[in-house]
Amino acid sequence: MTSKTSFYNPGLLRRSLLKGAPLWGLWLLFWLLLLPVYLLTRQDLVPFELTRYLFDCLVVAGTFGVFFYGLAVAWLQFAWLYRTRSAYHYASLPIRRETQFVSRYLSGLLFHLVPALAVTLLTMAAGVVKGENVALPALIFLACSTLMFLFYYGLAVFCAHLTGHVAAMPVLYLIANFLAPVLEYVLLLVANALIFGLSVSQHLWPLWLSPLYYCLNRNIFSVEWLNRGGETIGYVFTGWKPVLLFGAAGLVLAILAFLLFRRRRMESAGDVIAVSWLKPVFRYGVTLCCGLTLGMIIATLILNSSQIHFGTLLPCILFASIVGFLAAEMLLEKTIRVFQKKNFLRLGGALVAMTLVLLACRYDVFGFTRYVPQADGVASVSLDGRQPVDNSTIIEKTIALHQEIVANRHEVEENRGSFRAYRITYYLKDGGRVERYYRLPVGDHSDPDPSSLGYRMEVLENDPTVLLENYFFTSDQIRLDSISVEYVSGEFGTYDQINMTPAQGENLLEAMRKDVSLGTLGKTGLLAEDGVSGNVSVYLQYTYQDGTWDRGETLYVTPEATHTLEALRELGLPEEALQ
Amino acid sequence: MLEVKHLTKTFDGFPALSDLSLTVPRGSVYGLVGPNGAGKSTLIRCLMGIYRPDAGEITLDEQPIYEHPEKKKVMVYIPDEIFFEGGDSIRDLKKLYAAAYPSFDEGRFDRLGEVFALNQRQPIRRFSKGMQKQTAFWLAISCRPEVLILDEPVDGLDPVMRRQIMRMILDDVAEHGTTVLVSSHNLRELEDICDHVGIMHQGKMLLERSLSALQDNMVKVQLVAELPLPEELQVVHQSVVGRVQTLIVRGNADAVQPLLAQCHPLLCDILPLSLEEVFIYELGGVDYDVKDILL
Repeated sequence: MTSKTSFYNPGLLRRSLLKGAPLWGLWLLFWLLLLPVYLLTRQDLVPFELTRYLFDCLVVAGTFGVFFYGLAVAWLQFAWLYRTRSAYHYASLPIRRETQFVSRYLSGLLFHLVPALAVTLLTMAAGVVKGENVALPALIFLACSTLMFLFYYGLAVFCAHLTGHVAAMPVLYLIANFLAPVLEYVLLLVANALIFGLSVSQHLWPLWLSPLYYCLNRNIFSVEWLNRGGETIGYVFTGWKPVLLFGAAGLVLAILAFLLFRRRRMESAGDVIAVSWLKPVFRYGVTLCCGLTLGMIIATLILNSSQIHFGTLLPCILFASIVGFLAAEMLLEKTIRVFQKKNFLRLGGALVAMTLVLLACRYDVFGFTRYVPQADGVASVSLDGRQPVDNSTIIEKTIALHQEIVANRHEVEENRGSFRAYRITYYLKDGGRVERYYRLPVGDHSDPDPSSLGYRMEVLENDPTVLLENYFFTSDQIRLDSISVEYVSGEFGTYDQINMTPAQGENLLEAMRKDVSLGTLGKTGLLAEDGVSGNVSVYLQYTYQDGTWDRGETLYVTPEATHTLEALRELGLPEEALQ
Repeated sequence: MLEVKHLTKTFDGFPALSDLSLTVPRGSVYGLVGPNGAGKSTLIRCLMGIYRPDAGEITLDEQPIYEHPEKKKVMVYIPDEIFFEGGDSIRDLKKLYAAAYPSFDEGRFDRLGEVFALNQRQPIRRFSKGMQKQTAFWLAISCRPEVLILDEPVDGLDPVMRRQIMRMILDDVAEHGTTVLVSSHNLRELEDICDHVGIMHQGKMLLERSLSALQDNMVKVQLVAELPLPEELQVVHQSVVGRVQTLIVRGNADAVQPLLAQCHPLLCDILPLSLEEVFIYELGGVDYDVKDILL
């Protein structure tokens, strides 16, 4: 008998569709109730109300909905790999692996496509009944939810082929969706405890490495609404790019899953990790993650403080690493009898490596902590997130104070009194950037010590040169959009506001510049002074030229800011507010 | 011909099969014998292309089996524990088998329904172990396989059904030249149906021969004689009760009889050996724990 190569088996496909009927039936019912049925019950519709509702539903469908549904469908399609009886049975059948995989994968796609298509058509019909054409948003809904399903389903299918254990599959899927931010958080927590001055203001790795986290943090289904006279007249769906990328990634993951399936050993049914080369990654990954996370928790509980001592942290991390290693080994070997020589050697190696890395971080083997840039290499410096200043005196003063901080590391680290957290950012002439973060002692908060590092940093931060740059940007790229003066006056403390353009407020701006230069306006933190009785503040709204950035600065007017007070009088502010 | 050459399979470093070779002639009934843990099921899973061998080759008519559906289409396997999912009925599994095996014979399936008399719509999970085994045989026989592989096949079957199923299989062997490989740890069970036997121990094939060759090569003699036994007689084992000697002698009955005549026997009875006895005495001299193999 001859037969041609086929990539799908109708029997398998039919069987899988029938077995999954309760699942896709529920999915269909859920969306029927949420879309067409609900649309039909809406009364007194305003223009685009149904369209808006559809896009709102897309956010739910395209994130949480397909996240859970993709997992459930993949689990249903590939759970046979996790039981020896079913795995051996299907492997013994004269069906190619390609056919097995494609039949089940396609069946899983149909689990979404068929209900989604039915719901889309019924939604369009509901729109017609209610007098709003929702054909396009319904099709966008179908396309986006399908592309996102393609991604989450592909990810779940990929995870399904990494493991041979029924319970490990959803756990791996969750890890894949949340590992990056959690690991980043833990790593930074430990690194901050070990590396003096470490500052990380950016993510260590891209957010999309944790897809659900990414989708929740970014509005990937973005829609621009077009308004005229306060009424919506149209919309543009601008979220195609991320959605298409997610869909493509889903296909890539499915292909990777297929490649894993082709080489899969059926005897791996029941194994937590089914791919042999991934076992060491799992073993040492669990050791590392458990060591850092559990170690940090234990150290925090022991010390009962946010300040972690290295002497306590190191044994805690090592102890937690041992726990993690043994747990990983037990899961891999499916027995609690893992106390063997080879495992002790592996564990010993891991502990030695971890200890060396921790010691290297702590004792600054790589010179990170000691490094302070040379003044001639620094183009500008930013103090605590303020606008960078290129004044050489400020740069030199900052570097001198920074060197003092490094020299007094022990004092800074051991400080248990009041502190001020500062971030120093150097922009180097070679285009590089050096950033450090310190919690500097200030003595008593109510009576700060002027000789303390924190207080002196505060003085530097309130230097008129720094303040002028911070409040009145000199950069050509930054544009002052508006000025508003806010104040409280009258018998009942009425809040009032004067808005003006930069041209209208030119006199006020000039007066404020003078006062900031004299040190009588704009001081912050420990050096901030009480304002006038009317709590008068001037709010300056800035925008970056290309519109990608905006920033507002508020200056509270003090009784000593005589030039500003005079300018405000000229603007007509009541005298009682300026006292 | 189903052939295995130098097959090795290890699990996490543990050698389940070591350099194992075996040959199952077309149309034969091959009994695979060995104690629990000998590697019978592992070998069968390798034969069915479930496990990928670490070394060696497995062929059917000189074509590899692993990941070759063209070869697997003519092979059906009944495991020691049959597969079914949650609410699967016989009809559900029939559809799966019919979709997988082009040779699935609907007519035969319907005819066998009268023999097995099981409710085709009832979930298989509600069947007894014996009924589940019957289901497996029903489906397997309906596929009209050229090679039927049975792993501990009759566990749970009552003697009547056991006999009936075995007769059906042997009829297929006789009529269609079906090749059957059947594993068991019980020699007595295989004695009536096998024409070839392989014995496994600790992942190795200890002995592989046709049953007739084994049984023709050794006889049991009950003897009362006046003279001593001739030196030419190859006695493997001897026991004496009163004047009656029980001898296990190498050679077939025709060759042994003239030698026994030399000792003027008052009583001479030449009997065939059971399969169990053949193995005990064949392997008696080998450095293996025969008792362990046979129990």
